[in-house]
Amino acid sequence: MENQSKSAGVQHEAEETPPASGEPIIELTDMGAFYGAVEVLRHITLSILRNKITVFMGPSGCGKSTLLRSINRMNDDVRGFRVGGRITLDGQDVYAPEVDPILLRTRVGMVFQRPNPFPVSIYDNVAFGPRIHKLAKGRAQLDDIVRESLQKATLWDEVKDRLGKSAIDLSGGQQQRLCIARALAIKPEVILMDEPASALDPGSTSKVEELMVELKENYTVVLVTHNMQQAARVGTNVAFLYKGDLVEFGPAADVFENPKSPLTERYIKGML
Amino acid sequence: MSPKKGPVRLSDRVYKSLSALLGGSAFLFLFLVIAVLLIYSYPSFIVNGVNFFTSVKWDPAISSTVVSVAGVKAMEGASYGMLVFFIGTLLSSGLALLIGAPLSLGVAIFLSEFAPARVSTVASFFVELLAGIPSIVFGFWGFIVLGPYLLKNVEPSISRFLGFIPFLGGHVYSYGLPTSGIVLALMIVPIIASISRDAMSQAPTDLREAGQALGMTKWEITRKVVLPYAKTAIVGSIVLGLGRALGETMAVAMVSQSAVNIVPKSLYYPINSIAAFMAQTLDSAFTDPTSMEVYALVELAVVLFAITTIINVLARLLVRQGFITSAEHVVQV
Ligand SMILES: Nc1ncnc2c1ncn2[C@@H]1O[C@H](COP(=O)(O)OP(=O)(O)O)[C@@H](O)[C@H]1O
Ligand SMILES: [Mg+2]
Repeated sequence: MENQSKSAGVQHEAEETPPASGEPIIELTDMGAFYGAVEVLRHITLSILRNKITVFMGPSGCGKSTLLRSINRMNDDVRGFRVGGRITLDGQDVYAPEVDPILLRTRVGMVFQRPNPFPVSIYDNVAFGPRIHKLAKGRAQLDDIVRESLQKATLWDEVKDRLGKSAIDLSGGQQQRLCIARALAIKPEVILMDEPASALDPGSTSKVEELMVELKENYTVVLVTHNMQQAARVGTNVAFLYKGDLVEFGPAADVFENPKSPLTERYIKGML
Repeated sequence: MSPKKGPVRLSDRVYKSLSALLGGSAFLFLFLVIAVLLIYSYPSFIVNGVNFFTSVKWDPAISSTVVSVAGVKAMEGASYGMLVFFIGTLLSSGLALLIGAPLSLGVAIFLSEFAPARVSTVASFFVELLAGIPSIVFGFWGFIVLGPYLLKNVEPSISRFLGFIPFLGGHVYSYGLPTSGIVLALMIVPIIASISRDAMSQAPTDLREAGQALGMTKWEITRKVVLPYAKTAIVGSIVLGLGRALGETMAVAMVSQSAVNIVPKSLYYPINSIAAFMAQTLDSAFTDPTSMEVYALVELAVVLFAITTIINVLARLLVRQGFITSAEHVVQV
């Protein structure tokens, strides 16, 4: 019952979306990326709006993950990896020498394609980040952070009686929501999600999608997916990447109903 | 469907019984080893009794007369006490572990987590090369270079400046104990380092990335993700290294300065280990007309076997009960 009404809300979301407007939090300016001499992204210029869901879609290998991982500098240790152009967070170039990637990642959290909980208890998974960054003074505060994070990830009711049990025993969908809770626990502003539902069954997928829509109330969500339906359901703005180029970027409704580029049109029709 | 069903099944059966045979033979060998040890040490158990475990004195009394004790022939006045060798074994191996384990883990962490790929490959090769050096070479180096150096330049300073710490003060007599410890440490470093490095580098990328995305530093990822992941293998490698140190014969025989009838009261005493003493003594033991010294040496072997077995069991319990798990691994709430 509750699920259905929420799903309906999700459906509305895409239709009601006004044209791409709002306050940008992340801006890419002529951004490019290289692995060694291979250029895998070029001339990407776009704004990611605060408290919106920005979706990157495109066929496998088009550079979606690379783009996402460039934002929180996850590829810093990849040999030969290089970012060109600019990526800014609140106006600050994230690759500027004075930026500490560790601090950047506490502001920009990430959720991965395959759920990757640590092989410890549910509680300890969520408490991992707060413990590392010493966010809680004492046990009671840590308990609060864990509870709130699990509530925000809509997992609390399912696990509140077994917080001490291993996270590995949860279902795939629960594990993914746990990973979202773990990311939320260090109070990021932006959450990057790299195909967070692609390894999940349809039921878990719709739960995660509902969750994304709820999250944008308080966070900025950047979603990578190759699932067009998902992009249409949850996306505020949708970017279509193809072989490293930004082919189209605009409000979800425009991109899907009225694509400007014939490439986008062919992708949407399943011809790419 | 398969036209070769018959032969396939036959080869299956042959394979099964063959592997059962080979698997069973491991148990058989172990059983035979234990049986031989017990049979050949039995007369010593009877004659030497508790004295074997409590006495410092090892004296075959070879020129006295043969008497009969509890129906077993022995030399009158002979004493077989294991304490010198038991203590020497534990001290030298303990020292080796104290030096070798942190060093090995440091090497493993560097190679697995911090060294650039090329450096790691080259350095790993040298670590494994170290494992191939025969123990007699280590022994020679300890005997000719390390031991005299420690005796002349290091031990006097330690005694002078750290002498207030128990066991580190007092007169400098010998390089036996520290040299044994260091030589053994170098011999176990390649074992612990290479196994630990392999285990650490197998920590899954997606767990490392989970840590990275949470704003953990490389060092935090190492401590909170990689080490907990590899801890079972690390403990296993330490036990393996300790086993090597406990049983090492030649190198210790060369550098221990072969103590008999004296228990080390400080770091600066000669020692002896069970394995080294057995090798040194076996030859002369056969001149004992009652063979009691041979039986007593076999009882020493039983003790060594018991030590390694107990350490193995303890290590297993340690891993299972999670004494050494990180705080993150202790289930809470
Ligand atoms: N670590 C890497 N080293 C070299 N090339 C890579 C690496 N990761 C990805 N690539 C290449 O970069 C391109 C984009 O990959 P990716 O961003 O993973 O695409 P997507 O997520 O859209 O499937 C692909 O051609 C891929 O082969
Ligand atoms: Mg990808």
